[in-house]
Formats: sequence, C-alpha cells, structure tokens
Amino acid sequence: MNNLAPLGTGSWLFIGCYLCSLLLIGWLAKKARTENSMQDFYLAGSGFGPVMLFMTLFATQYSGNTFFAFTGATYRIGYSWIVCLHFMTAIIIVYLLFAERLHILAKQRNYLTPGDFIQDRYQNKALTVIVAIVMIAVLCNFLLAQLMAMGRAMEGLNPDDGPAAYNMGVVVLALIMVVYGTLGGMRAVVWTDALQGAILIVGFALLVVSLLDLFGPIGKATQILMERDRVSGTRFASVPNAAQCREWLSYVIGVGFAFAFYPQAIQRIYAARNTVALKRSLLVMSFMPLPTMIIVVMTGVIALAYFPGLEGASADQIFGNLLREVQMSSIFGYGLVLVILSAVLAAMMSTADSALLSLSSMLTKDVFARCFFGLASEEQLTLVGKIFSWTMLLLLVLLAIVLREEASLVKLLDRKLDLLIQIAPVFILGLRWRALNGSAAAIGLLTGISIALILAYGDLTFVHNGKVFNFHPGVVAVVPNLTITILLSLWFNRRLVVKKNIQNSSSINT
Amino acid sequence: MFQHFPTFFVYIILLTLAIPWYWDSDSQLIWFGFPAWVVTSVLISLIASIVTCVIFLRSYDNT
Repeated sequence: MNNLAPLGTGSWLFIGCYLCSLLLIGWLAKKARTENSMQDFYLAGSGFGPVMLFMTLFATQYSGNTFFAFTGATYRIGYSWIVCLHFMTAIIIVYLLFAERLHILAKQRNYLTPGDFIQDRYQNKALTVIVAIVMIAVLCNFLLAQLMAMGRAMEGLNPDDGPAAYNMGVVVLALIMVVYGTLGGMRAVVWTDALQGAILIVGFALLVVSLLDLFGPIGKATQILMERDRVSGTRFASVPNAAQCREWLSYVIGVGFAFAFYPQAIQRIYAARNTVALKRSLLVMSFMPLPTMIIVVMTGVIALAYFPGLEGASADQIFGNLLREVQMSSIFGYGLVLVILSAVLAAMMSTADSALLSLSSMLTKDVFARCFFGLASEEQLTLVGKIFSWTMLLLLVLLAIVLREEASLVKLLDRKLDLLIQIAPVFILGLRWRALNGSAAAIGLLTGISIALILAYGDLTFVHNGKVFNFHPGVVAVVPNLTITILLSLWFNRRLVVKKNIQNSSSINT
Repeated sequence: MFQHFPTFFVYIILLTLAIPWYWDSDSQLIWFGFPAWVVTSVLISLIASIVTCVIFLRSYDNT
C-alpha cells in the first residue's frame, strides 16, 4: 500500500471510529457474559447460530494477508493461480469428513481446545502435547505474519513516517485487539468478525466493479496477457503445463487437509449452537471461494495486464498500485479505497484475534492445566488465559518490530501447510476408525513432521523451490505418516489380541 | 455428513476435471472474457460447491 496518496483527517477519523467500534463491541460482549468460566470465555457458552458462525468462519478463513498474497501470486504466475479457488473449496469438503462428528463429541464432552479431543479419544498425553505444540507453533507463526501485515499496512498509509508508522501500527492495532479479546473472549471475537466479514464482502465487491469501470472488461486484460505470452513466451494466460498441474494437485490436497485443522477453525466447530447451525454455516461457506477468489484473481490479472514488470517483494505491493488508481479516479473512488482499507485492516485483525484466542486457550488448557496445574479452578484458568494472551501478544509484537526488515510474509506463511497436514490423520482417522492407536498416531505424526522439515530445510538435490517434483514437503511427508500410523495401529491391536488370548487360555488352564 | 462412499469418487472425478491437464497447451479460446480452461475450472468448482451443498442439505434429515 506504499503507493497510496496520503489520507486526510476525515479518513483517519473514519478508521479511528471503526477501531473504537471494536472496543465497544468488546465491552458489549463482556456485558453479555453469562458466567466466568473457560467455556463461556473461549466458546461463548451455548454457542452461535448459523449466521454468526458463517460470518466468523468467513472472516477467519479469508485474512487480509490472503488478499495481498493471492493478488501478488496471480500477478506473478497469471491465471494459473485460479487454483486458489479449488483449494479454498477443498477446505470445506474436508470438513465433511469430520466436522459433524467432532461437533457432537464436543457438545457431549465439553471440549474447549483441539487437545481435549485428542486426549479424550486416545488417552495419550504425549500425542496431545505433540499436537498442541504443532498447533501453537503454527498459531505463533500465523499471528506474527498478521501483526507484520498490520504494521506494513499502517506504514503504507503513512509512507513519510516509515518505521515509526510500522511500529505504531503493530502496537496500537495489537492493543485494540487484545483489549476487546480480553473483555469479551470468543463472543467479542465473533461479533467483531461479523462486522469485519460484512465490511470485507462489501469492500471487495465494490472494488471489482470499480476496477472494471476503470480498466474496461476483463476480456481486454486477458487478450493483453495472451499477446504477451505469444511474444515473450510467458505463460500468464496459457494452459498450465505438467509441472504446474502437479503443483495444483499438491495445493488442493495440501491446503484442503491442512487448513481445515487450524485450531481456531476447530474451536468454531465446537462453538456451533447445534449440528444444524454448523451445517448451515458450512453450506454457505462452500460457495464463498467462488466470489472471493474470482475477485482476487481478476484483481491480479488486471494488475498484471496494466502494470507489468514488478518482481519479487514489489509484486506483493501491486494491490496498493491498483488502489491508488481507484483512489485518484473520483471522490467515490477515494471513499471506496477508504472502505477497502478498513476491510483489509478488519480482515487482518479478525484473523489475528481468532488466532490469539486459540493460542491462549491451548496454552492454558493443553499446556498449563494438563501438564502443571490440573486442579486450578475455572476462574483461575480464565485469568491465566488472559495473562497468556497479553504475554504472547507482547512477545510477538516485539518480534514483529525486530523482524521488520528481516522476514518476508511469504516465508513466515510457508511452513504452516507442511506442519498442519500432519495432524489430519489424527483427527479424521481418530473419528472414523476405532482401532487407531494413540502411540501409533504419535510415531506417525513425529515421522511426518521430521520428513516434512528435512525436505523443506535439508538442502536436498531433488527439492526445487521448496517442493519435491512440484509437491509440497508436507503432502509428501503425510504418506509415510499415514502408512506408519495405520500399520503400527494394526500391529499394536494384533499384539493386544494375542496378549488377551494368552491371558484367557492361561486363566482356563489354571 | 460424508456417509456414502460413492460421494468420495464424485469428488475425485471433479478434482481430475478441475486440473486442466487435458487442455491443448496452445489453446487461445476465450469464453466470457476468461481463457476457456479457466472457465471450465471455475464451473467444476461450482459443481463441487453444489455437490457439497446437497450433502449438507441431505444430512439435515439425519439430525
């Protein structure tokens, strides 16, 4: 957003009012609290109906960074990035495999964190802790990326202030987020998500109309790209080649099976009021990739056609170039960019606040309570959770400030898929196959994580651009993970049967 | 929700058709302003969303 024209006082007042409204929602959510328990704070008591659940799932799944990164990706590779439509749909299809069963169990047994299901199903503390550690690592990575994106957004709005604007952006937005999160917990996060989701939908629908009005029909941009492909041999509008097709397959499987297991998404499955509310919200969610991802790809294609030549990190700023064109076009365009900027901030904050709440609940329940202080009361644990929220956010804010020049957002986001997909068998098989053994799942999970990390960081000759024959390391590593989990489970169960038979025969003999 | 095994094959077929491996690499066809292979891929995604929606709607009866 570094290319935007400076905002006036009125615009800053608008953004200020929006941020204050989030604090007001946090206060209202605190008033709506029914009891001082972890269940009420982290899952909003009896849960949410289909509309609220849909809005929070939408705002959580589509982050501001998604719009920046995906527009940038389309700018780099052209129409081939339409694969994002398929992998976002794949996430909802993967929910079909486990969401309902997990929700029913969560309601019956009062689950709060993903670790609660793992412990209840497998009775294996090691597995629960491994899953919790993987999820906490992913959440920290995720939250850090969102904080840095917030800082860069504020830096873009105040290009003259540079680092000071970045630091101020990270600190102020994080502070607002943690205040409303601490006040109202999950209720505040979901209510603000509803507001933020609504702004997102309106902002981006208006953006595409405005872009088409400014640059003409999408067919014109497509023809420019096809001509460029013919002249310079690029593949921006061409049919993907074999390597790209393999990458598509990897993305659909990888993202589908990994991102369905974001802890914040699992907690939203727990927080549904009933199965009908859960199904209705997922039903609407199954159609959301179509408008959102098509808008993102169209935006990237228009940018690629009319602003060619940007490379590397500059390509990620292409969204700002387009916004500037819209901003300078008319008073309506200026107002529209203001709404879109609020939508981008909203998207970043709604994703970050959900991650922060999940992080705090997992640290409290899965690490603090399970490993150290199992006898603490609900009030004590809720207080500990709030302290964790502030402490973790403080640490990540400091890290975001220190890493301002060091880490790229893409690098930060890269390894989430590789780690999260390893957890998929533990949940999906665990809900569907009684014979699945906790120790076998733990060994399989550790193997999968090790292989994924070795492939990603091992500097191996057959790994190109972080991928093995265009497949993500996580997708490759989930195969041995699954094989070991299944084979060891069968072996452990066979040993158990043999042991029981020996015991039975010896008791008969005696 | 995912009770019927044949549903799994429907998704496999849709995934196979969504990836544009079967298109001629020199195709310059444009439909509705987009490359034809993109339109096909989007339509397959729409079908996948409809199938998912039908599964969710059918499973209401079971709750």
